Amino acid sequence: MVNGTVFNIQHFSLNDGPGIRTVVFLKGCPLSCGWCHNPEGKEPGKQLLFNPKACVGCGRCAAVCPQQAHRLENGEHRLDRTRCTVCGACAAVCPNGALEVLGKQSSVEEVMAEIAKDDLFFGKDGGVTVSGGEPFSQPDFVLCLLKRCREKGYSVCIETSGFAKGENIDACAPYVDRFLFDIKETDRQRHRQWVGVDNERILANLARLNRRQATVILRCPIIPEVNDRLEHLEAIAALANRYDAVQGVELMPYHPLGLAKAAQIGGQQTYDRTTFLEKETASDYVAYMQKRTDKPVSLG
Amino acid sequence: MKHIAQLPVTERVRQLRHDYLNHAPMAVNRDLTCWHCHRSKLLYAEGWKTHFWTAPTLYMLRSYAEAHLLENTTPVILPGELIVGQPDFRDYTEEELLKKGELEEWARRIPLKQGRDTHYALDYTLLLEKGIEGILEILEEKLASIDADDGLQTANYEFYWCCKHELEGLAALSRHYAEEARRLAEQAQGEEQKELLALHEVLKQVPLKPARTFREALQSIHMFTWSLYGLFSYGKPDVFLLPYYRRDIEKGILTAEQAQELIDCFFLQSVTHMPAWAAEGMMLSGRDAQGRYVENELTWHFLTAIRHTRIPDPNVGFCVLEETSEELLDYVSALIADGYAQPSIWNSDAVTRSLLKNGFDQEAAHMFTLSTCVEVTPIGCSGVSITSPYINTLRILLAALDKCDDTAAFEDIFAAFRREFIDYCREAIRRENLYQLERGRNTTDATRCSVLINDCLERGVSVDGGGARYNLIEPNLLGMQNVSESLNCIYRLVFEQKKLTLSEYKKALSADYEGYEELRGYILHKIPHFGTGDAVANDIQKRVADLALETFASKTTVRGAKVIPGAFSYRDHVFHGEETGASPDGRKAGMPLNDGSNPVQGYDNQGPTVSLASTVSWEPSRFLGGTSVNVKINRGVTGAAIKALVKGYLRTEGVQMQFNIVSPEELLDAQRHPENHGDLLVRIGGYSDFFVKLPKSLQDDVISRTCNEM
Repeated sequence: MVNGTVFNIQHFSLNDGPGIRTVVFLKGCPLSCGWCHNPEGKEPGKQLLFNPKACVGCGRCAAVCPQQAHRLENGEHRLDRTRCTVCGACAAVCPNGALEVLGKQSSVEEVMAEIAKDDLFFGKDGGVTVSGGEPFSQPDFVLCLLKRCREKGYSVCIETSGFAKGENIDACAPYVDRFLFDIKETDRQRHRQWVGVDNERILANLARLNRRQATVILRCPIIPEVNDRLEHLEAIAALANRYDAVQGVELMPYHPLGLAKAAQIGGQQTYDRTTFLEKETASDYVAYMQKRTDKPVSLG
Repeated sequence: MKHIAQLPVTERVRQLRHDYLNHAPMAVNRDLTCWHCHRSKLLYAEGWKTHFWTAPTLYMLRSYAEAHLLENTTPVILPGELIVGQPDFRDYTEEELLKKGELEEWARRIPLKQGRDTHYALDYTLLLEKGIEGILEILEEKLASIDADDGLQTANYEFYWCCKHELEGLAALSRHYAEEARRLAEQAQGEEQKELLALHEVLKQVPLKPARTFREALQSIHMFTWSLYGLFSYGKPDVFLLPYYRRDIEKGILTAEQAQELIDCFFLQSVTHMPAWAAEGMMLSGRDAQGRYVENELTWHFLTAIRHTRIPDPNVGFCVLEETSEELLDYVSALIADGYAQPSIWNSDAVTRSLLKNGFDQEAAHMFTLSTCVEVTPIGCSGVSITSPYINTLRILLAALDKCDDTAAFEDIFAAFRREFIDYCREAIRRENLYQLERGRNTTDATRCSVLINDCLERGVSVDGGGARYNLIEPNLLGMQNVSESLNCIYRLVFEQKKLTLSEYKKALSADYEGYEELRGYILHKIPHFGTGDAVANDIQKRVADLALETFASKTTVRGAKVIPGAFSYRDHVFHGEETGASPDGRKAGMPLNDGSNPVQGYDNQGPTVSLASTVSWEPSRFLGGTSVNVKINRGVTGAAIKALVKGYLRTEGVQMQFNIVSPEELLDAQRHPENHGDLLVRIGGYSDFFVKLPKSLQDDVISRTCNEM
């Protein structure tokens, strides 16, 4: 049985697909969006998270670290990530949860056991959402997980960037009730610039899902001064109109939560706006797009 | 029936709400903790004084005092009121001031009532169908049928005499209210005069005579209930008031708008006579006596009154069934999502199954209500002594730990707790039984409420004397989850991980974790807690719950009835927490105990679904004494999500569930004490997260937005 690298399982999610859902976040993503809201999902391997707010400077981590990656300077904790091998010794002794290893190796059954804690409450709408990272970066694990969910009768959504091998999507599609499919940028040049890859494959996969008569919701992050252009909104509306598979569009206003998370894993974001996109502005975009498509447009 | 949900708040209701909340002493001064804090206390004492030397028994002396209070209570009718009846809080007159000192001295000498006060659920059928005059006729017949030569019937004579005497007092109060309405009408003009004359007509009829209309029915039950100066549950108004409502609507003498306004006014009156710590209760929907699903216009009207009045009273429960209509459940879910904090959700059939198992008949098992908080009480037929007493289980565990040393295995520790718990409960219930004995003999609540509790009238025995068809003592366990969480932590740290010995653990507790911050941090963050779906923690909690049920199952009350515990908290987890030392679950000395039947605050850090699944794993439906499960979700949650939670809950042995809408104050406290708020969910744009995990700047942002939404 294949194991997956899971960095979070969120219970009682209300925003990633219909009803009450358990969201399984898988590690690894081939894109590098500057505004990524789950930066801890980017690297495929495990990572050490350090939250300085929770650190009390007890020094237990420094005492157990075989690489001397942790030091205390005048009671202030210092972490040298170049030394860290993510062995997890520090996280095991950290009394306040300031240190945590993200990216647990989990079997499908372990994940299913976590999902089972919620399944009383799924009802007819809710279920499981597989997210990431990019779930299709762990295609074998995802397929096993989807099959087990189908056996249990759970409704399944997959949240994907669309940047995946077509064959993997084909293999999984029969077990997926709804694709939450990201369209981050419709301009090819800008897509390369901000997302780090070409959008050709993403659009091809959207066409593929359309041919398969899948159910697709387009999820579109609105990033101020990157893609908050009217012609981008128009292009998304055109995609929604072109494909019967698309059942609706959700605009996801930018939030700066990724910045703090990136700092906690020792990374940084290339896009560093610290304020939320205003709700009124986002609502205006929804209204603008709704005039251009019959498919329902909403704020995600 | 959506048209009922859309009825507007009338100007009258808006004004009365404003007036009551700003001027009614009970509403303004939330520190008023006693009904008998003012004139009514003096009037009662005056009745006591007057009859002290002549009343043959203490029971009769109390009824004399009750009657004197009722007869001499000044009616209060405020402008715009449609439903009237409230205590007279106006300043003392000079005449009253003259005798105040002496009467206060008398009041101090009145023996205290032992045991838990009131909390009965009345069956108003007799009142509505016969009126007080009709009930008085029945009492006359009962008294006439007693053989004066047969001394064995003396106690029955005493009971009937007391009911009669008190109800005559209530009849006098009702007449005074009717006269007051006419007096005010004579001074008024135009529309106001017409209204007061209509009110006079209503008060001439009820509660003295049978209720003829919906308005008279509401007025009758209100007048009877408020003047009892106690905590009572109205039962299921959408069952017993429905014939009055339907008849008036059919006759064309009542519109939906008028009915709604009357119910709103009825709700609002609770503000005028309910202290902050007390409540009136009622239950909506669920099943009727025959087991049929209840949903009708009144279900919708009473729910709408929650939205129209936005006050903490009455405490409304809503019984959910598999049959509950989608439309109704949508309405209830939306009310909760909108932050009204009412109604509480009740898994009706789970309670019914439990009542049937405990020997209640079908009718009683379907027709139960909350007895003002969360205690299960079959309507109109039970003498339930709730929270009798509160038992601080965590202190019992700490006492047990004192007797264990490092040679003790985990099972030895559990056995020590078991012994300690059983010993404590034996004495606690003995004491409650002594209280019951005393109440039955001479220190009762208002005896007249017994006429509305079956079968007191037939048996000639008051509810305090055991006249009800069903009698229960419901002791209430506080801190039960602290106990299981403490045992869980001991199991993990001392026996599984061998991180420290029991005596080292106890040292940390004696030091209140001062100097043991690392240990406490480890407990908070590294131990899988009850509330996270952990199998070991669930198992320990189930063992503690089973122990509690077994312990009481072997006991009977002074009436030969059952003792069935509850496991909720109202405010007492705070008080009892203050006098409880540090506990192995990481709780510091003086901190509150767990705040209900849910896992320890902050430990159920995986969201409400996982928390609820843990809570139902110990089958709370067995705890008829009441369970309360707090679900904290932030503002912005949709009704659909609430509905999904409710529907999931319905498939479990969970009983009650109440939703807390997050306030800015709570968020601020979460910033200062994140360790107490690990379970607090907030929504940011299209994303949910745990509040305490957010950086400070974003927490501030959420706080400011939460304020804006209020």
